[in-house]
Amino acid sequence: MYNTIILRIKGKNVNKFIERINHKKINIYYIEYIKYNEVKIEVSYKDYDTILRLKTIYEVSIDGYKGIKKINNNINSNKYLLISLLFGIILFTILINTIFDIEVVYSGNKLREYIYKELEKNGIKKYHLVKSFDEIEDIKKGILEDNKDILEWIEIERVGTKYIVKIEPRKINIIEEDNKIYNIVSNRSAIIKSIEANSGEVVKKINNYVNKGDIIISSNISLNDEVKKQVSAKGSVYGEVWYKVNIVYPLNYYEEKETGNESIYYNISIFNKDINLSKYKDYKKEDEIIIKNDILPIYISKQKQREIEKIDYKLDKESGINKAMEEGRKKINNNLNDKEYIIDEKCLKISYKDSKIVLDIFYTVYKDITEYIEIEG
Amino acid sequence: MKIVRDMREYLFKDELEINVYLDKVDIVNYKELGEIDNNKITIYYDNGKITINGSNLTISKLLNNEVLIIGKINNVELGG
Repeated sequence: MYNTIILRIKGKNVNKFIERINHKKINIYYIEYIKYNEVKIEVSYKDYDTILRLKTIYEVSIDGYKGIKKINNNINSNKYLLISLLFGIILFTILINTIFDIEVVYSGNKLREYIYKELEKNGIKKYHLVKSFDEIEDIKKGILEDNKDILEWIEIERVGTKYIVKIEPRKINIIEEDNKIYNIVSNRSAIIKSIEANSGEVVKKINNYVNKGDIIISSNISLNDEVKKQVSAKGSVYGEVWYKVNIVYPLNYYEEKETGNESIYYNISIFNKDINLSKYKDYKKEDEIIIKNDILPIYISKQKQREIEKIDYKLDKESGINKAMEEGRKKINNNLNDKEYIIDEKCLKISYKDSKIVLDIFYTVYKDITEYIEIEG
Repeated sequence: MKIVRDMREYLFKDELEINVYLDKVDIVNYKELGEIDNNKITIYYDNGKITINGSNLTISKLLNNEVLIIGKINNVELGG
C-alpha cells in the first residue's frame, strides 16, 4: 500500500480485465468506474509490469502515483529546481559566513600593517570563512600575549561580512639617560588625577581635563613668565580615562572541567568505538597503542582517562548580563598594571543576537597617561 | 498456548465473512469472482456462491481475499 500506482484502463469490457487481474492474484485497492468502458484502479507499483503483460486490447495508462514513488516522481520532475535551490542555499550560507573586508581602526600605518599581518597569521583574512566567538577570543588573547610590548588593547568586532579591529598601542616610557630634553604629555584624553614630578615644571592641575599631546610636566622652568632654565621632565601622571567596550557573550554555556580523577584501562577500539571498563561518564583520553590492525581501524591500547565534568546550560538574561559584565571587566583588567584600576562601569546598551547577549559597556579607568616627547633643538 | 492460539485465530482468519452495510457489501475470504453486472454480482466461496442483487453495483476494492461492492443493495443470497 505504500507504493501504489493509479492506472486508467479503457476497453470494451473492463470488468473482464479486472477479473483477469484478479486471477493473477493482484490486489486492486481502489476501483472507480468513470464510464461504461473506462475505469481507474489503484494497484501496487510492483504489479504494474504484470498488468502491462495482461492488457492485450485494453488501453492502460498511468494516472498518478501514491507513496514514495509519488515523492520520487515529484523530485525527478523538479530536480533542476531543487538542485538550483540547494546550490543557492549553500552559496548563500557560504557568502554570509565569508569575510569580505577587514578594517583596522588606527591612524599609524606601521602598526596597522603589522596588525593585518597578525590577523592573517591567525586565519582572519579576506575571502576566508568567519571565525566563531571562541576562536575570536583565542585570537585576541594570542595577539595581545605575543605583542604585550606594543599592544595594550585589541577588539575584533564582526559587522556582517566585515571585521572591524580596534587597537590601542602601548606606549613604552623607558627613557634612557641621555642629553635629550623631554616634556611629559598626556597620551590620551583624560582628567588628571595624580601628578608625580621628579623634574620639570607642572603646568596642569589635578582634575584638569587634558587632550592627547597636552603638556603636563614641562621641561621649561619659568619664573614670572620668563623661561629661566630647560631640564628634561621626569615623572608620572595618572588620569581618569574612558573605554567603550562591546562584549558579545553566548547565552548557551558549555564547559568541560577536569575533576582531577584519572585511571588507566585496557581498551579495544573497533571502528572508532571504544570498549573498556571505564567507570567515568565523560573523560578525556590518551591512547598508547599495543596492537593495531593495519587494514581495519581496530586496535588494543592502554588508555589513560582523565575524568571531566561537562557543564552545559542556558543562561537566563540576568546571568548572561552578569557574565558579560564580568568578561568586560576581565578584558579591561588584563591591560592594567598594579597601580591602575577600574573606577566605574556602566552598561549603555543591551541587545540580543542569535542566542548571544551583546553589551556596550562604558568604563572609567584610573590609568597611567604619561608620555615623553622629545623637545627639538 | 491458548493465548497464542487465540491470537493466531484473530489475526489469520480464514473463514468466509460477509459484512452488509448501507450501500456496501464486504466479503472476506472469497474464492473467486463470478458474474459482474450493474444489477448482479456473483462471488464464489469454498462451499458455494454469494449473489448480490441491486442496482448501480460496482466493485470498489478487490484484494486477494477481500472484495468490497458498492451500490444500491437489494438483497444478498447465499447458495450452494
